[in-house]
Amino acid sequence: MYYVEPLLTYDLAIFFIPIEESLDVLAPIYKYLKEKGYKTQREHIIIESVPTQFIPVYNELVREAVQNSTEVKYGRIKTRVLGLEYLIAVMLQTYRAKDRERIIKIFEEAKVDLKFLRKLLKKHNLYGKYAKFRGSYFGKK
Amino acid sequence: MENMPNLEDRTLGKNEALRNIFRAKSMRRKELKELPFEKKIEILIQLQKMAKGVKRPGGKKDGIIWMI
Repeated sequence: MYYVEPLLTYDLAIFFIPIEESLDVLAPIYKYLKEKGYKTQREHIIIESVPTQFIPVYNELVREAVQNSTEVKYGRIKTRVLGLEYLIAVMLQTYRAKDRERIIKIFEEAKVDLKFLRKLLKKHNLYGKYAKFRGSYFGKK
Repeated sequence: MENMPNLEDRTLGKNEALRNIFRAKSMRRKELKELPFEKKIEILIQLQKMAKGVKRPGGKKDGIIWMI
């Protein structure tokens, strides 16, 4: 949503790089938040009414996306968002219906650095998938 | 930087009235896209309020509203 018009959504996904390898990197986070009184609901923990999901980086692309995330401000609070081209690459990888819908929206509304995107997709073996997707939805490879 | 070809340009052909409607919608989306992050979150919360109680096709109702 940072890059396009506001869209209806309910949850917040926080990607992070664990500081150490462990079988359950989420356990300390959930323990800490439970001690603070926050309740869990399925895969989410409800923080100040926002269903929040903590997602440890699960592959090289997501790790690189987090490492290269951009600092933004929400009011006076500093936070980070994934770069636009990384976001497209991650969504191409997950490729659920809502990911495809959002990729289309991004291409319609945001200024994508296609040169960088192509380089990124080639590096992570996603270029073929992208070319097929782009051909299907935009009629151009 | 490059832009992708616009889907509407390719599908609406020469129908000027329709093209004008879609052009206006596209301009509105661009205005919304340019809003500050805080304003987008405000709009998102409005959307959550509007969606509250609306049944999804599966019969489940949406009900989450961020209290931030």
